[in-house]
Amino acid sequence: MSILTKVRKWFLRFDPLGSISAFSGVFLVVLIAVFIAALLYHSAPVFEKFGLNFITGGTWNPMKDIYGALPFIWGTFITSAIAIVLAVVLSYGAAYFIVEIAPLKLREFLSSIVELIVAIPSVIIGLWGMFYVVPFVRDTLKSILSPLSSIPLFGGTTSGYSYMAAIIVLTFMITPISTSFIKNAMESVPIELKEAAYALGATKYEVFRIVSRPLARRSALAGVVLAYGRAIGETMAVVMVIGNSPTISISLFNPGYTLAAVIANEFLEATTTLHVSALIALGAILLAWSLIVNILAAFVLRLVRAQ
Amino acid sequence: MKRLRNLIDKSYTALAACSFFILVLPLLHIIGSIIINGLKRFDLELITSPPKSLLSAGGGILHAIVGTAMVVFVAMIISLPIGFLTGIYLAEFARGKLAQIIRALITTIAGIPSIIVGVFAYTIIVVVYGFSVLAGGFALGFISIPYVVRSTEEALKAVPIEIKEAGFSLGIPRWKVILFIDVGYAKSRIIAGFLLALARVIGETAPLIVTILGGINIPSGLFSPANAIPLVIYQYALSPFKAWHDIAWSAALLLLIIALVMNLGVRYYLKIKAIYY
Repeated sequence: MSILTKVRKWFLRFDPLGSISAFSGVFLVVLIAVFIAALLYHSAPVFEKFGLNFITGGTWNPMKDIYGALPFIWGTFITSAIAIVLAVVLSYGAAYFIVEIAPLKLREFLSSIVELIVAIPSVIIGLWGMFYVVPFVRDTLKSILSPLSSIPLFGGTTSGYSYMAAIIVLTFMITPISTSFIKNAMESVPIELKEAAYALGATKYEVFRIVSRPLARRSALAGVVLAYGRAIGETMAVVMVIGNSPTISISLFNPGYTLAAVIANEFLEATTTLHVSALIALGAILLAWSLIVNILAAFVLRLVRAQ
Repeated sequence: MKRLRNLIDKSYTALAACSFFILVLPLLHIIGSIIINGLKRFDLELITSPPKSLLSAGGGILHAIVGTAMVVFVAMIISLPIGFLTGIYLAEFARGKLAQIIRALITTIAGIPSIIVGVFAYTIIVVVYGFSVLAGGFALGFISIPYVVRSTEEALKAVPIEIKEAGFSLGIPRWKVILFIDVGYAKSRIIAGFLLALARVIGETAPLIVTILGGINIPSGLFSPANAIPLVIYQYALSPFKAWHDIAWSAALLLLIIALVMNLGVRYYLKIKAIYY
């Protein structure tokens, strides 16, 4: 093939929109690279000073320029872990209710009510949390759980601003996401399979346990991973109720802090370069955490689509 | 045995109903408390005047409304072209490794906590130009890109192949078929996607804290600090004054109305499903 034909062919196949649109995709790749580079560049000073002790250090004292990320890592871990467990339980129940129990005519309406929760800006949920969830934790929940106060997890006194309040708002915010995934997966279970189980005399719950739940498992997992990602990164609703104390406590009734919350709360007050750098480094840790979760989510989603 | 199985079935039904209501009751409580607390100061002054001074309680949130409008406008200027073009790429041209990378990247961007996007905007814009509308708009634009991409892609993929083929059979070049026939056909869904992306970022607060600073002045331009409705809610809620709490609730009512009207309006009017990543 002569060069001329090659050029001719290239011109015939060339499409301006194809190149322009591919370019905007490549631009996104570059932007993400800049993103990661910028975070790493700005968090370098604190890692230079403290090394890996920055991650394992338990003291955070901006006055003395001592920075350790462990209180925030702990707070993010404990709040998101408990919230996701509660969310899984609630969302299976809610999805079962919407798909199997509620009348067919109401199904769309009920699921859109649940999806409405996602549309509420998180600062509004934080405002509500400050004025209603925090007093609820202080006055009601603490006394309900007082028989359990010998367990360290529920011990101590509380001002209401606590891990517990954060867990409550987080659970409320992320449950709709996993519910939506589970609900969609349950709806797409072939009716014949369910009818076959009913024909054998199975009850509704048994059909769910034997047919729907196993078939919906992968999609449910994808939804749960996404919900978890949302839980670790949620900022506003958490910063307004968690009490903002850079300490590590076992009791859920004690105040704490999360990675996202401390960035939002201290960023404008940070005066020294090292303090800003430490906050950006916390952002880098959170980014790494959420990227791992996201890669996991993408992997699971691919399995679901291949199914 | 039969009775036991029925009992299990009944109790699971009850538990399922409980979990649904555990989820919905707080929603009703939120909406109810925002309406009740928000109506106290939900007056004309709220939306027509800026705060009187940094320390007194009077005035409204005009500065924040203007700020939100400017920041969201900048965000859309940034995210619409990039998101729209990338959406076209993924729907029409995507092939091979590059497409896979870009697709994975879009999902990744959607999963990045918004506060970190704010920090990113701080490191590349605030450090140079200071706290500004531009920095906030950049952060929100970045956050909304995946939503614009996804809605554009899905709108274009829903165009019937016959319509494209009709275009091709007339000898129209591919880019013209896409821009004038496909996009024309999918127009309303693409615009709905834009509006949903806008609704998604209008309530974002965290990235704005580290990019636009707040304050009580009406922003004068792209490079001046600004405030925004969600940011005002946050700042006033943390203040010790009852009068400011009232303004926070009223601002929350305003924001809730905006967010819900955009979300529900678009989704019911055009029958579009919510996008999750």
